[in-house]
Amino acid sequence: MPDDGRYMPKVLLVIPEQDDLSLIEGILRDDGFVVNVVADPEQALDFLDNNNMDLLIISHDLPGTRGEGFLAQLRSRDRLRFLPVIVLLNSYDAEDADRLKAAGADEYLLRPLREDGIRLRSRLLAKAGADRRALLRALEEARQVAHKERDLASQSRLFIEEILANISSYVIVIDSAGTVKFINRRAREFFGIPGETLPATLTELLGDDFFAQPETRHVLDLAAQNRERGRLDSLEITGVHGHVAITDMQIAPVIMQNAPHLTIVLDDVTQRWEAEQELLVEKMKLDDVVNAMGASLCLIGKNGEILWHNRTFAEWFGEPRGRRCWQIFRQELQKCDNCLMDQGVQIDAAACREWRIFGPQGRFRAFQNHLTPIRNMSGDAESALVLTQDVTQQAMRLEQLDLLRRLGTTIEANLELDRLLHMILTMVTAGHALGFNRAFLFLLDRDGRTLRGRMALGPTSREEAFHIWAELAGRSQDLQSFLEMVDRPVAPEEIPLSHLVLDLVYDSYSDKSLLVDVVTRGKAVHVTDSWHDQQVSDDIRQRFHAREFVLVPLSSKARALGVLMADNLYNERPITDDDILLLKTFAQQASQGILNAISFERLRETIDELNATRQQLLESERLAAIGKTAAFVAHEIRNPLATIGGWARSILKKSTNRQRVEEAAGIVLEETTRLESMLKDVMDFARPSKPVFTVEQVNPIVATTLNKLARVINSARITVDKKFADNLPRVKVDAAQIEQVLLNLIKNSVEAIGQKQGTVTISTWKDGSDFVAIGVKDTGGGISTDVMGRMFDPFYTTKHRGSGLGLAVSRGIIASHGGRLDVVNKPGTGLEMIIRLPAGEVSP
Amino acid sequence: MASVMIVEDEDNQRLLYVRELGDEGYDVIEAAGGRDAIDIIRSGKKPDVVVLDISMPDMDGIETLGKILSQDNSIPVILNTAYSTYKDNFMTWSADAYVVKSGDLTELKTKIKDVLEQRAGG
Repeated sequence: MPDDGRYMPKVLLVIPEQDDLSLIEGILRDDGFVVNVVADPEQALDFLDNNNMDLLIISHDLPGTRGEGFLAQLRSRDRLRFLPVIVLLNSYDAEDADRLKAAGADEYLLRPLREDGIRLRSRLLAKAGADRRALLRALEEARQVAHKERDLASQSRLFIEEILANISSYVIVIDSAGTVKFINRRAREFFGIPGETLPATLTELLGDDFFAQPETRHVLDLAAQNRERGRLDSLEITGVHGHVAITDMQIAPVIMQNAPHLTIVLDDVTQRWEAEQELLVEKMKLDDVVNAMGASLCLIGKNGEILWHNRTFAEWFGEPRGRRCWQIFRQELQKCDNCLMDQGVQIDAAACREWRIFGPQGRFRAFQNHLTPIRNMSGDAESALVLTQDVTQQAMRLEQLDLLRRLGTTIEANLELDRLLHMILTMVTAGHALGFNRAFLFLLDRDGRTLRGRMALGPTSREEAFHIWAELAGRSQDLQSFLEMVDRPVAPEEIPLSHLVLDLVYDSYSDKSLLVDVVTRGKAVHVTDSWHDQQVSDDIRQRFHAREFVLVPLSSKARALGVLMADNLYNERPITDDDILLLKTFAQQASQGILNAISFERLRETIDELNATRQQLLESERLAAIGKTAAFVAHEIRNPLATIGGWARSILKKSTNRQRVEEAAGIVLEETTRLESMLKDVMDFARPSKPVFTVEQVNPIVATTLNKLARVINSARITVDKKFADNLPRVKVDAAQIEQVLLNLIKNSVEAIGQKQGTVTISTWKDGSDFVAIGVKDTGGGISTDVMGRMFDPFYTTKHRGSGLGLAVSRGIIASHGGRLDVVNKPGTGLEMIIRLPAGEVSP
Repeated sequence: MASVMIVEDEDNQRLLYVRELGDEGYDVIEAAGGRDAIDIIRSGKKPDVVVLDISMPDMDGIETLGKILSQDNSIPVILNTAYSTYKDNFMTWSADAYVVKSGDLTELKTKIKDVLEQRAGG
């Protein structure tokens, strides 16, 4: 056998003739065959059943049988049907040959056998045998594959049938004539079709009503004629026992047995449909809620576009019509600087912001936006749900509360009555606050009896009203700045509307008027229709022309002050109970303020009166002093005059006596000087010169005075002790007058010491925080209580030749500086006079 | 010659009286105040007439008048003052005469003379 790896064909020999067997076996072995030998056909079949052979060589004569018999057995086996067989014949017989051929022999060899014939035929047939076997194997494989596929197909069909039987859809197949060819189990159950039977037509199955809809017909026709798939939703079908179901229908053309058919699939969507209906109802309810909730709700896109909004939104802000949120909410032309949307995109929680739209007459609407970001799957906020609430009422209440609070403080700070009244009327008419069109104020006179129109505020005509409101609408001022704008002293006459009430005067004791009623009864009155209201008199009707108005008493601590009247003449806005309540509360506050201002005004009047009285007293004191002066002058001038006159006469009489003349002339001169000096004192006292103030340091003034006195003070007997404090506050003084006072005081001290030894101490100090003091102290023994009591009286003197005016004038000067002149008397020791001057600023 | 006591705080006036009354021939006794006058009278120097000023610093003329009279009510006193109003003060009524000061001493001199004559005659 060759060792070159070539295939070695396998041969089985069934040859009883030993010689032939040996010959063939030898040749085939040489030729590279694998030779197998069996003795008889039985063994051969057995062998062949278990081994694959490429060639079988048999004798025609076999033990127990002939070749054709064996061949018949052999060929009856599938595996062996194509095994090449060579039959050895003893002689050629055509019949035998035909028989063998028919039995399945491939070749025959005639005896005597020839080597080349054996070799050639064996080779050829062995080759054919191998090929056949390969073919057979391939066939077998193909068959197995086919078999497998057949299995799969049948499995698939079963599977599909199972599915069709079990799916919840109703599946029906009809042919082009509408005859039902297939109906699945669920459909059978639904329609009540017994197993194995088929309903005649689709119409019979679904009923005529089903096809009554033109659309249904149309879709079915399209599917049948154009082979198009179709779909119809929410069709109502009726099954067994009148059971009704809602179905979605799908129609698909199919080819079955080479003929066009339609598959109809009905999906029972009853539950879904019911759920949808429920959902729809719920949604409608929700929509109703959303629309009726009295808040605006909208969905805003990233760029401020309104994606969706509810009805309230449209009612409040109009349809969006492409406007962005800032245009709608804020009337801004550009995106707001601190856009909530931007914040909302970044923040987790909802953002919230309050904002206002200002309307005419300073009125506003306040809104509060609650923004909730709506995030996509990746967590980015792509839009935001904005809930907008109208918080005008709350904002108004807050403003009004704030207003009342502020009114309290304003009142405290505002004691000018007219200014306060203007403020009160402003608050009653300001849109921020109470927002009435017009307000009128009547006050009782001091006598508590006469009620007088005092001030009014508001436009005088409809045109003016709308003009003002339009102007105000342009300015979104808050109340604070508004009040600051109007807070100025205003005389009632300056306000045109005031003239409507300024001439109105009622006697609250006797006059019958609604205004008087409100004041005396202290109860607010709301007149809704003045044309028909019996309590409204013609004068009010014709004067104010208002159909509706409200009158609120102004009173404080049960004391009637007046009445506040307010109306909405121009915009005819009805006056609500809230308005009245607020106006009443406001009126209470305002009353307190008015009372304060009135009290203040009266206090001021009283103070003025007191001042006038005091002035009169001072004047009469001055007149009395002048009278006294006249009397004193009579004495004080008569004395020197008598002296002068006497000496003058003496001169005349003794004109030749030189000594007498000189003596007399000297005395006359002396007395004249004394008279002049006295006259100056008297003039100083009677008509003190007005001080000319400058801001000065005290110490230099004292020093200057001492210098001037240096020659007068006898330094041998009198020691001058100076105790000046440093860093004294400056004082506002007339330095010359202060010097005059100091001269007086120092002279008094020197005179008190008289001919004895003594000390005059001049000191300056800061007296408390308000005064600078100058003290002049002497060791002159002090004065008696009697003298002390009279020392400041004009013309009182203990001196031989004093005018008695020095201290009186000094005290006057110090008083005119706003200071005091005090005495500290230590009888037996000395006296100290203390000048106290009001301190100015502290100088460095 | 009769003696006249001048009680006057004003030096220049007192000197005038000393000169004028001296010229008239009177023996003039000077007193610069009430206390002075009383001291002099107590010392036994009794004047024939006293001319007394009223408005004086330490002791006024009315007080002095009282003291002089309590000392010796036989001494005639002429009140010599710039004030006519002192006439209303009844204390002044005890004086023998009341002269309002003037540059013209004629009235005073007449009153002195009158008083002295009354005394002499009385």
